[in-house]
Parts: sequence; structure tokens; C-alpha cells
Amino acid sequence: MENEYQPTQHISQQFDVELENIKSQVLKMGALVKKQLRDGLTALLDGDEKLAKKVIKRDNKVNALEVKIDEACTSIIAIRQPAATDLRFVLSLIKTITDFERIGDEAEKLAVSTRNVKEKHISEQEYQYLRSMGDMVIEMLTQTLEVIETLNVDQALEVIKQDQAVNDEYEEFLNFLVSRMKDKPKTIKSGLSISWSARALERIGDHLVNINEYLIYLVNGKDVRHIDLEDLEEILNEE
Amino acid sequence: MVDIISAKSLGSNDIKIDGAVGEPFCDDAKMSMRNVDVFYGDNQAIHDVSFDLEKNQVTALIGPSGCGKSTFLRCLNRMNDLIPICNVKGSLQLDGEEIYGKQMDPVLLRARVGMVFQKPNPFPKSIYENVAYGPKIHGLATDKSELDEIVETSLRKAGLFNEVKDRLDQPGTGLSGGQQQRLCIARTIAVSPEVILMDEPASALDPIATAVIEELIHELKEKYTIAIVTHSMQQAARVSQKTAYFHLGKLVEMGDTKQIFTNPRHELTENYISGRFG
Repeated sequence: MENEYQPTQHISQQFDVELENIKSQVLKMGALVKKQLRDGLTALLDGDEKLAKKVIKRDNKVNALEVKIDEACTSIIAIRQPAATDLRFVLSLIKTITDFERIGDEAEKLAVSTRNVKEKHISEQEYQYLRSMGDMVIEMLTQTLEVIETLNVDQALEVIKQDQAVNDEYEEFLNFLVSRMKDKPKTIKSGLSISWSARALERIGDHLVNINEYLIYLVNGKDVRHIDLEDLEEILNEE
Repeated sequence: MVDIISAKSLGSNDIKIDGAVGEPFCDDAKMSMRNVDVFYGDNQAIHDVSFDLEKNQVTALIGPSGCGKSTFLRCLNRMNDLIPICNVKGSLQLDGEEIYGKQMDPVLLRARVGMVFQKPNPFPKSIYENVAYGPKIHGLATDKSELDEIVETSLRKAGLFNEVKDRLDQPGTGLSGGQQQRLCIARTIAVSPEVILMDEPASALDPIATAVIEELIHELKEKYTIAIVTHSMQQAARVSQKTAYFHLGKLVEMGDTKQIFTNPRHELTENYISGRFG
């Protein structure tokens, strides 16, 4: 059994074109957000202020895409009055872009922290923790973009599961920072600063979970928000 | 593992209708239909349809042209009796009573199960007479004042009284389309029906008159059980609590309107309500 949804064509082909355009724009926004995340993380880890500036400047483009897609969705709701899967498609994507926009903001936060962290000299362990968390959320984002393309529920569930590893890593990193701050009070300022970046990466994981929950709703109409992983798997197995 | 909406080309013959999906039955049924077949001569128009009309709820029957929804609606008060070649089989019950039973008088049945048609069809009589006609022939009023009261109450329930109270003696045909349709609804209400069947009641009306009729349907359900056939899916979504989707004479799916319009279970329902059906 495949867990994918590929819609048939509408009688109004123009409607198909409009929906397809929205999907393309969302994927475009997702790709841009991924670039922001990747560059934001690189800027932070390498202390590359030039790249950080680029990321900060580029956030406007993410915001502009959000507004543009919002308008396109509003127009479809007003003109086409979508029902069933079409309705869930528009609702899911309109919510997806809100989370994309917030991921963009978190990526910008990484870039903003670049100078501050650079001055404090990031330690090897800190570097490793941030790199590891960063790689995990970039992978989650990559897979989320694939789910938007394929609408594969199994893959959406996999992405949601991956967030646990991000949370675990975040907690471990925080514990590491706290104990180091206790031992070496001089590191409190830099530790706090770095913890904010780790927090940004952890939040990105949460936003990606949200997006994959919307995509599950899109495919099978089940609202799977605000439930734990065990219940989620049970609900998806009900069918 | 999870629900899939497989997407084959719409209207193709490989999509099977194997009994209605969803929830066609309820505990509080006003009318219960079981295994209903309808034939026009040798041609079978309705195939083994079973579902309930829930009491004091609005049930919308939707589906593409020729799917049998109007035919089915007309069975519910034996309007199809007027078509000689039409043959209805199966069980159709009103409060547990067979409506095609020998004991059932079709005229009395039609007073209990009233009908409003697509095109407003007031009698070529005064507004007053249009509403008073039914109560008169069914002997529902003993004197003129009682009849006056029925007429006024019915017109009020149909949301028309204030617009026509000063011209009750003028022809019903002189009213606007929306008013005429409300007059027909008043005429239906006047004989104190239990069920009201509506066959595209607003398709000939402008959006404002349509909104008035829809608001009226919303109010009428407090007292009556309503079944409405409509081609406007938005209208079905707005006015009904239950929706039944028909396709090629079969009931494909029935369930809560909210569920049907956000997450239908059957592929054919999905395709129809999202405009993928040709």
C-alpha cells in the first residue's frame, strides 16, 4: 500500500494550475529557508560575518514569499471555495508557510549571534553540538520538502520521529553548558549566548514537526497535532 | 498503514460502489428507507439505497445530474405514483409506517410529507388562498378565524408575512421569485407536515433570496425534518447537518456534512465535491 496522495485533475484546469502554483511557491520558500538555515549555521560556526549579513538581509525574501503565498491561498478560498482534499491542501500549506517563516526567523537569529559568538571563541565541543543539531534539522527540513512534494505520510512520520533526537541533543548540550558555567563562571556570558543558538535549532525542529503534522492532515484528514508519538502512530495505524 | 486517497481518473468504471460508506443510519430516524430500488419501465434508476432521515435535521442529497437524487426524493411522498411506468421496491417508512403500504392514503401522506419544488409554483389565486387551500381541503380549520390564523402563522414561519400582510388578496404570482418560493413553503407548512422535501428550492433565485430561504430552512428544522436536493454544494454545506452523495442511482456515502466536505471517505464523493467529476 502506498501512502501517497496524487490528486486527479479538476474539471477546471485553471484551478489545477493555481494549486500547482501554490505548491511550487511553497517549495521555493522551503528551499530558500533551507539555504537560510544552512548559511546561518555556517556563519555562526565559522564566524563568517559577511555570510551572516547576507542571511539577515535575505530574510526579507522569506517574508515576502510568505505574504505572496498567503495572498494566493486567500484568493483560492474566495474564488474556488475548495472542498475536501483541496480545502485541506490550502489550509495545510497556508499553515506550513507560517512555520517556514518562523524557521527563517530562527535562521536569522543564528546569523545575528555570529559576531557575539565569534568574540567569545566557540569551543570544539560547542561547535560539535551545534553542528550535530544543525545537521539533524537540515536533514529534517530536506525530508520535509520531499514530503511536500510526494505527500508521503510514512516519511512525514519519520521526520516527526527525528525531532526526538534533536530534543535529546539539545538537552544534553544544555546540561553540558550549565555544568561548565557552574565550574567556570567566566563562561556564563558566552554559554548563554550559545544556548540561544541551540534553542533556535531546537525550535526549528518543532516547526518541522508542525509542518509534517499539517501534511498528514492534508493526506488523510486526521488532525494529529498536540498528541504524543505513540498515539500518533496508533492513529495512523487505525486504517 | 494509513488512509490513502488513491487517485484514479474520475468517473472511470473501475471505481466500485460497494454499499454506502459512512453513517447512513441513525437512532432518531423520522424516515427510514431500506433496499430501495426504483424502476422506470425496465430502466433501474435507483439501486438498493438504504438510509435514514434524522428527525429535526436537514439532510442534503447531492450528486451529479441523473444520479437519482430527485427521483429518490420524489419517492418519499409518492410523487412518483403519478408516473405510470415508475415502480418502487423496498421499504420506505415514515415513523415506522410503510408509505407504500395499502393503508397509506397518498393524499394524507403528502400532507405529512410536503414538497417544495425547484420553480416556485403558486396557484393562480390570491396569496391568502394559496396558503389556505391545503388546510381547507384537509379540514384543518373549523371557521374563518381559525383559517386566518393558520394562514398568518404559516406566512410568518416562512418569513413572508410582513412583506405581504397588506396585500393578501392579491395574486401570489405577482410576488418576486424569492417571495413566491417562500409562499410555496408557507403553503407546505400550512397543512402541518412532519417532513418537508425540497427539490432545488433556491436554484431559480438570486443570492439574497437564496440566503433568505437558507436561513428559513435553518429555522424550519427546529420543527420539521427536512430533505433537500441541491446542485449547489456550498448550499448543501451551509444548510444541512447530514449529506448523502448519490452516483449513478446508488448511495455512495452518507455522513455528517462537516465530515463529507472536509474529509469524505469515498473517492467518488471526494471527486464530486472538489470539482473533479465530469
